[in-house]
Amino acid sequence: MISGQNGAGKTSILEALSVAALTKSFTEAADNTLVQTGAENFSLDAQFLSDLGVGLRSKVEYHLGPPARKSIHVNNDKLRRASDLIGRIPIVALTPDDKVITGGSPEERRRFLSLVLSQSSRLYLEDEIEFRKALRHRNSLLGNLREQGTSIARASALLAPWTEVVIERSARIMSRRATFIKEFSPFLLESYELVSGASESPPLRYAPMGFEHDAESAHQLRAFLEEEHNRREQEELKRGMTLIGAHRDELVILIAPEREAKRFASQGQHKSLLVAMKLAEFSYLRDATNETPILLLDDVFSELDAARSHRLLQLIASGRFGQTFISSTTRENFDEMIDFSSNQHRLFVVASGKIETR
Amino acid sequence: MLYTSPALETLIERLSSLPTIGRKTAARLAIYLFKQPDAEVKSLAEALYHLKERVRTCSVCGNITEDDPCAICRDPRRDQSIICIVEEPNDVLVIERTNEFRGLYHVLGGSLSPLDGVGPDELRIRELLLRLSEEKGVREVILALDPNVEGEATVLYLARLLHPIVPRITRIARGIPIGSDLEFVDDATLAKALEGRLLV
Ligand SMILES: [Zn+2]
Repeated sequence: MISGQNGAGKTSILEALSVAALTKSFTEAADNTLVQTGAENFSLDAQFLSDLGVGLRSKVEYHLGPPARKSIHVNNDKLRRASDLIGRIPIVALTPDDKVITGGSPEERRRFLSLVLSQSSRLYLEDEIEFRKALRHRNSLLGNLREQGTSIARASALLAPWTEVVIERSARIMSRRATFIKEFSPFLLESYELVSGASESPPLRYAPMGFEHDAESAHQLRAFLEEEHNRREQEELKRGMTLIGAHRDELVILIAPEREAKRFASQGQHKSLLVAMKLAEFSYLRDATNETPILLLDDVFSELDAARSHRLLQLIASGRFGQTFISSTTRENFDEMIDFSSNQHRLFVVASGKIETR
Repeated sequence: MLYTSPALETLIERLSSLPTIGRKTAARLAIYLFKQPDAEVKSLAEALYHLKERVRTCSVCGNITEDDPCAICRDPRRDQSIICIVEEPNDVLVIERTNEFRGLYHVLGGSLSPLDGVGPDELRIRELLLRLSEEKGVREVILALDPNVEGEATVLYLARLLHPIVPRITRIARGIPIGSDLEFVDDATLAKALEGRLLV
């Protein structure tokens, strides 16, 4: 547990762990904002120990430039791409900003899917990186074609290869997401019960652009996307953007049949759901990667009511999770439930940029 | 910091406009050159001068050459019925090093990349079509482009375009480098190779 006043630098410590494991902050903050004011670079050197006792040393260095430079070393080998680190040190972070997962736009839930799946499947991560690149190319091309008023026949021929890449990657990504939803649901059910104390189950539904069939079949998805594309290419040309693909699907969280959490959940249900999603993410990743993820809870307890807070802390104290980093401004509830004098739990106090062990 | 010599300053500016060379490196190179014997620097200057005067692209295949057409295009022993399509002249050297390919080449000069403003007209595709209509005996076109989305889109575009005129269109496989230990292959390559695994 890391305790300290607001602005003392607690979150920075958790962010550092996130950068060391995922190469970026869980706050989605751009790298240049992570550099201390007045400084030109940051440098991180972290050592991890896997469940099997294998050591992994991750070094991330960033220089503002210009041009900005970022280098990542794993066990002293320089990585060719930042994405090569992702998934090797599974990590789950929960922050007050994550509220948007249950309450925000579809994009936020796609980001959630993407973060979990990227850490659990190398191929998925590659598909996503390639999909995003191809999508940007296709959108840029659509924009140019609209501007130049290119004939439909010529535009179609120029778009065709990019359409094919976007559809092929989308079908793979979407079928992987559909399978994930199926595998993830039991974990979510279990953790929702633990967090809320209730036995109601929040079902998930994967709704890729009105596709009604077996979304796990990449083959069927591809056929569906091709059909949609034929129907909508003219509209795409008119609007200058890609309207079909993995960037348009949606994960729907329901609190009851046909009642979408985003609209119908109470404040309390939203909080239970969010914590449950994150704990389920933890269990899912542990299962998928055969490695206990690191859990980061950034200023979460101030957001929860006494009962939920108590249950979550109880879960953590029970040793159910692996190494957990908690940041909090208050210590009241912690002292009575967690024995900081034991070797299992450690308390750090952050004040004016310095960390002290208590 | 600015140096007191305009000539030096100009050189630093020119050097730092090169790819991957920042101002600091440019300054270091310029000072290094200044300390070299006259003859060394003159021969470098001559090499630069001849680069534009003597080196040209082959009007047939687009490869870099001093004689047009290039040595590969002129070589009668090479198999005229197979053309290997690559992105850059450097790729020709790479494939030549294998000693496994005895056909001809066609250098596109890049791959499709709308984000960088590169469409079919910016690549040597028109030249390719012209060449295929003149050289009747081409049986196979091998697409040896980079394994990224731009390369993939270019392969798809060309495949569609060439289908009616070339009997056989192939692309090179992607896989694990021979002689490398599995543990040193990057995760992405290994994941793709696992996905494309073969029966034994
Ligand atoms: Zn030539």
